[in-house]
Amino acid sequence: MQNKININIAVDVAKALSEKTLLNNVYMMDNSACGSKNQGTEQLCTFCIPGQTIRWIVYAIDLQTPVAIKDIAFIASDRQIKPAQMKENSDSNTVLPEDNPDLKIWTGIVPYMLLGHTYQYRLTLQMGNGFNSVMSLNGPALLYCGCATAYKKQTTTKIEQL
Amino acid sequence: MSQEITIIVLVDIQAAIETKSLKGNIYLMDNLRTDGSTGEGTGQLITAIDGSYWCDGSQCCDVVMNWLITGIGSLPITLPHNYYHTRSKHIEHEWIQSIKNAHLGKNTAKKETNFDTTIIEKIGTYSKLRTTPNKVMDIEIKSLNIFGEHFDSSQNTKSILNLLPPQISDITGSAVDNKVLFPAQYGTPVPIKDGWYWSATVDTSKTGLHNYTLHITLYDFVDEVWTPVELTYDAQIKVSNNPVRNGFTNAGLGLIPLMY
Amino acid sequence: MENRTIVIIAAVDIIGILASNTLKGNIYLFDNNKLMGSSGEGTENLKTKISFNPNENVVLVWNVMPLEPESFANISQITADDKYITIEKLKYPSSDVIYWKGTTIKPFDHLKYKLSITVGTSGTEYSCDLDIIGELAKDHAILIN
Repeated sequence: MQNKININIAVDVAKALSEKTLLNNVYMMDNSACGSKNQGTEQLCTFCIPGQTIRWIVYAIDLQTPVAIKDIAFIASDRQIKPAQMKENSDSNTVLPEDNPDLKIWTGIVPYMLLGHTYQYRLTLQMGNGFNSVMSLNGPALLYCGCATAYKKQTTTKIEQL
Repeated sequence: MSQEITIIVLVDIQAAIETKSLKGNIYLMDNLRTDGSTGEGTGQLITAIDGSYWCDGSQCCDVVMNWLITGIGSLPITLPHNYYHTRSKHIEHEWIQSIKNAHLGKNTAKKETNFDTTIIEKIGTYSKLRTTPNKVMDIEIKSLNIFGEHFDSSQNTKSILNLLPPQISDITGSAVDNKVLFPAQYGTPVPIKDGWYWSATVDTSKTGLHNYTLHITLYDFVDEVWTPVELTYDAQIKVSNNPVRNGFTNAGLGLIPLMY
Repeated sequence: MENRTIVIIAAVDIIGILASNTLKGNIYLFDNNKLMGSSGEGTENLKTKISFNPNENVVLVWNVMPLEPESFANISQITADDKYITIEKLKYPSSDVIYWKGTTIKPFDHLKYKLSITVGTSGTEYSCDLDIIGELAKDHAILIN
């Protein structure tokens, strides 16, 4: 089984801060063997299965601009969520080491999931420090696809071992 | 925030050449003011390098520093890198074009007597650079003024001469000796034209305040020849190191907290 | 004292301006006349000193320098009393890069001007107020008297 999925998030920081939104300024891609949906957009739906490890990594398209993941929060499925951005105020200039987004690694193991159910999450990014620096996106999701491709590698290996 | 660090080194070239010192005539700025750097816009910049490490102690993220040097009194760095070459060629083309237009269907006999001196005045000659105390070489650009036009020393005052931008020739100091900073040069190896730019990676396990020395070459226009003036300046980095944690659990690897 | 052309550079932290929505703390101004009396180098309160020689205008040039080299910043406007100075927006030949040029019309003691900058893709203007301090050169004073 492909046991690690990387979700890469590329951000055009200057444009996102200029337009005060992450919509159309964020490009998400993953390397899931199941073939995820909406690659390259902010509505990426990553196909995964329980037991895999997923890692989210963010990159600024202009390397000299700052960006970090501040939060990834999953949204309860009975709420109607539109993929619009929500802005949070951040006017503190002193950040405790525990809260410093640069010191957080966003990796987790996929737990039990309902087959075919889309688990939407809110991705919050911080770009620089100041009133406008924190922005969120509700579009991306995880989906338990139940596809056979993820298991293919395991079966092939077993046969070779015999 | 995770980003490549840019340090802008701005030199008041004329003042530095006249006082033969960079002290008080150099200003440093980086893009990390809100991340802890102090002394922005002064000569006493201390760049804050926030490193991070995994639970096994190994360095988590790369830290890359880039230095960009320019002078007040030089054409701005927002112009394309090959601007000097482009302008040198265009100045010739503009003059050739105006000669063509002037000679179309007109009596040229009078004009030709002054031809030689006029061409040299208008097109100019290539600049000269002093490489050793006794040797001068031609470089492939013409002297420009601060408006991007040809600088003619017989007609223009020296105050509108575009001063060639300074270059960093080396980065040394205790930070390099103690293997905190690993500097290297990148760029085209042609002096003056695009110049080199210096970049360095940092070993963030070596926390604390470290000094490094910038070796800067300024160019003074003496007797129509660009003469290098070598000066040095000390700056500092402050390295800190903190452990990384999992964003979901605030500790180690765990389950992704899905909602049902 | 030879008449100088003064160059003023505004170094701007583009991301800082966009994230905090203000120029304060994110702009550093410099000129090349510190030796002749300019003060406030490296701050938002640059006071540029210029010297008026008889029958000569003083020329000032303004440029913007982004701290993030690939990001966009532009001086959108410089406003000053047009009785004392003419301000023009010009382009470096063979390029698309803008610079601003000011030519003094008559001597003054103290001129305030407003520098407006746009950054990023939004076109929002951020402004700050700056000063030019004028001084008559020795022979100029004699001429007037």
